[in-house]
Amino acid sequence: MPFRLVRRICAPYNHTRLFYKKVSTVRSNKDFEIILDNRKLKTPAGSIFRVSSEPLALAVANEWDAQEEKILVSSMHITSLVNTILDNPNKLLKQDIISHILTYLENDTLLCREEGNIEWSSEQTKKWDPLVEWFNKRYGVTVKPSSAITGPNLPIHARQTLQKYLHSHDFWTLNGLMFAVESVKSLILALACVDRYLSVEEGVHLATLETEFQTRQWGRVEWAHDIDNFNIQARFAASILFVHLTSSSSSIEGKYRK
Amino acid sequence: MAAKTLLRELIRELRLTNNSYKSLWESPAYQFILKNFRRNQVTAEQTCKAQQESQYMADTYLCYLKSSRIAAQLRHEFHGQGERTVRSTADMVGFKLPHDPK
Repeated sequence: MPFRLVRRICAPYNHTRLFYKKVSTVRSNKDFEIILDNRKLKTPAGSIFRVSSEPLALAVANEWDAQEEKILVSSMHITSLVNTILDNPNKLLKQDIISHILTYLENDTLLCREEGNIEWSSEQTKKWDPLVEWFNKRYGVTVKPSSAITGPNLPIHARQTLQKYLHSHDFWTLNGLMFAVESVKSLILALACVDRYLSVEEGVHLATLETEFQTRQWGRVEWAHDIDNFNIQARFAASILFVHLTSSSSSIEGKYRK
Repeated sequence: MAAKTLLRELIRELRLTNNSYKSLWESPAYQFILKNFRRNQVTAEQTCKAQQESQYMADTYLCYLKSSRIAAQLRHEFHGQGERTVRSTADMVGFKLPHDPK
C-alpha cells in the first residue's frame, strides 16, 4: 500500500495540530460553507464541505472553533455526519439505510426484555412500556416486547408501515436517524426524540436503563460509566439536532430572512 | 427548562467554545441563537409550534455542547499520560531520589 494512502486512511486518528485561528461560515448560492482562516473546509475525499441550512453550518463551525491545540475529529459528530453523507464512503442508497435502521427495530432495546430479577423486570415494565405504547399509537403498529431468546417478533405490517414512513425522509435526514438509532440501539427512542416526545437526556436514560439499574446497586465508576454516558448523550444529541435541522431547514431559513 | 435559563446556559457553553472572536457578540452562532430567542419571545403567550420546536432544538444543542465538553474533560482527566517519570513514581510511593537532600 503506498505511503500516501496509508497516511490518508490514518488521518482521522492522527490528531492534527490546530492550523487555523478563525472559523467562519459563508453563503454560496443556496448553500453554506465553512471557512478556516481563508481556506474552505473540505471533506476527507476532497470535495467542498457544503450544507444547506444555516444553523447546521453554524453548529459545524462551532465544533471547529471549539478545538484547542489538536484537532479531535472523533469529537466532532456533526462534522463527521456531514462528511459521511457528502463522501458516502460505503456507497449506501436510501434503501440500504432504511433496512439497516429496521434491523435495529427487530432487536430494539425497549423490546428485548429480561426476566428473572423481579426488581429489574418491574423497572423495565414501568419505564419502557409507556413508550412502546406511544410508539404503537403514533405509527399505527403493534410491536410487542418479548423475553424470548430469539427476540421480539416484528409483524410484517409494522415493518411495511415503518418502511413507508422512513421513505418519506430524504437522504440527509435518514443518515442522521441512522446515527441516532446506532447510538442508543433503539428505533423507538430515536423516533420519540425526533417527534419531540422525549428529551434527549430522557432518551439516553431509557437507553442505558440497565446500566443505571446495575450501577445503583453496585456503584458507579466515573471513568467508565460517566464517560460512556456523556459520549452517548453527545452522539445522540448531535444526531437528533441534525435530523431536526435537515428536515425543517427551509422553515428555519424562511424565518431567518424575515 | 425555562427559556431564560436555557439561553443563559447556551451562552455559557458558547463562550467556552468560542476561540475565533474577541467578544461573543461578534459570533454568528450567538447572534443566530439570540435572534431566534427574541423572535419566539413575542409569541410565547400563544401555543406556538415554532416556539416549541426551537426550544426543543435549543435544549438538544445545549445537551450536545455540554455532554461533549464534560466527556472531553473526563477523558483528559483519566486518559493515560504515558509512562511516569522516575521522579513522579518516587513521589507517589514516598521515596527520594539518590541526589535528593535527606
